[in-house]
Amino acid sequence: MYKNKNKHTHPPQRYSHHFEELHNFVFLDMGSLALETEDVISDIYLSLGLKESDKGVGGPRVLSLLSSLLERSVQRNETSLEAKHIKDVVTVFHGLRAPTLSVRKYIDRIFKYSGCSPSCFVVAHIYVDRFIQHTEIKLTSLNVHRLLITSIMLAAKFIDDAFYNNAYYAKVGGVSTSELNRFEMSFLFGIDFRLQVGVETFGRYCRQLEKEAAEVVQIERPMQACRIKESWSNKDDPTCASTIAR
Amino acid sequence: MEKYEKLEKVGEGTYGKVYKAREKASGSLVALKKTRLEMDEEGVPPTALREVSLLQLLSQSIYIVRLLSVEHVDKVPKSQKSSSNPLTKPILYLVFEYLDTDLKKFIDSHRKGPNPRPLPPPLIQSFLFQLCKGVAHCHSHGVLHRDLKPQNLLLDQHKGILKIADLGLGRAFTVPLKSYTHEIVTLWYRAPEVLLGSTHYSTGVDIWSVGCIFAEMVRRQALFPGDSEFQQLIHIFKMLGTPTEENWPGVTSLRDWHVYPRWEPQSLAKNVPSLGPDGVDLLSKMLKYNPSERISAKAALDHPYFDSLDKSQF
Repeated sequence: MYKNKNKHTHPPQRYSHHFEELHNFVFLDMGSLALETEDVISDIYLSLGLKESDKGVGGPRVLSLLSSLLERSVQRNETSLEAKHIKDVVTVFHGLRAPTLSVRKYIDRIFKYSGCSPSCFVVAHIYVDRFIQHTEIKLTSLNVHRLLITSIMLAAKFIDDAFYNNAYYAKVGGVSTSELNRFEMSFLFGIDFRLQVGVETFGRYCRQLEKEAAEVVQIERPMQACRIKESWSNKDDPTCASTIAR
Repeated sequence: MEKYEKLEKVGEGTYGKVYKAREKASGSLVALKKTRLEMDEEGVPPTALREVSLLQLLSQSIYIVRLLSVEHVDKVPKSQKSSSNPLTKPILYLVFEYLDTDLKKFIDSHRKGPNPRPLPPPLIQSFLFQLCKGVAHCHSHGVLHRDLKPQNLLLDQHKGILKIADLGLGRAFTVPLKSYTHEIVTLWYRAPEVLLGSTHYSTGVDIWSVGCIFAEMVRRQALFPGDSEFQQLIHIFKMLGTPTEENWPGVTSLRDWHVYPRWEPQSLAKNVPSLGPDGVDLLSKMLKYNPSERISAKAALDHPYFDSLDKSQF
């Protein structure tokens, strides 16, 4: 059942097209579970690009809104940590230096190469929140990228029926497969394997992203032509060269 | 994993073995589902992710098998034991409550062996009620099981309890998604919309499986035992009649629809001769062609077939 995509481990440059099946969505009404009318929910989903093909250059709107929200959160946390002269809890997700690739560019890259449902990005956001609440770490530029690649991969594994394997996601994310496997296990135990997302929770996070649209502030770092891998890894790993699409 | 003493191997899954074991501290029996993670490229198998997550969500129902804990072990292979810096193999153990048999083995024991006999009608009624309770619980929490079959229904024979197990193919249906896979459910229990290539299916796929299981308990043999997707459809069409746009609007637009021979529906009652009129009526509602007309698990619990059942025990 999971064979097709699981076999791919080629560098993502080979898969730079957007996948056609990406735009064939289904939403099944949960009846009594839904707290809002289906129309209101549908409008939000449509607006975020979760239901239909988003022909825009930037892909579904959810990508830019999520990036903006995360970047602002990172900025807020780092300002707060600096002001209080405290260091964040160090986890396997922390790198020595912040990657030079902005959150926005990183999310776009993952969307471009993973072929996962746009809903995966909302679900990944929910997972990251659960992880932060459970482990009490702060989202910073040292951990946000690793948390993103791990949570998006887990969301795809959990909610999509066709997805790529860890080795492929590792290439997309600029980490080694063994690192990503370690992140995956830490993340799962960090959220107690709570991967299911109810319709109410999903709707609430979608509304939060909609609100973000009203106050979007772009705080992208300038992109430098460098290898994510070098700035992330705590040790040299020649087996996993950079896969940034230039 | 020193907490457990392995007693015997009781099965083998896609990703590893299943053991009957005893928890040393309490003496209680458990089932250990071993998930190998040395397949480095895949990481944690999606079936394990789904099973753990969905069971955590659903395990408060007594009609769903209880997941007691998840243990992550780094095992040192024998070849590495003497090494000062051994390479370890990560293993994930899912620890479940132990049940001594499943519905397939139970049906088989009534069909063959030294004492072939029908399943007692009150027991069929009780098992079906518990199955509908479990399925209703899954659906109310936004989960499709997608692999309901007698092998995945565990039994405590002494207490007469049935529990749904193996949510490895389960899926959330609470978020908007691209199309679903049609490679779900063992052929014999697979709904016609899935066989015809629908990728936008819903809770009806589980209800169809429940109907097939209901009939199998009564007949002691599968209702639609196809050996290919095409043969499976033929089995269904020959018994229930070839579907039409009249009884299933949109059927001819499904991806794998072809022009099939026109079979007339047979009497369902003749295929489950020992089942009374209420039972036949419930079965026919579970096996409706049009998924939107199929009875829901929750509504099935209120069907007259269960009127004679003492529901206070559930």
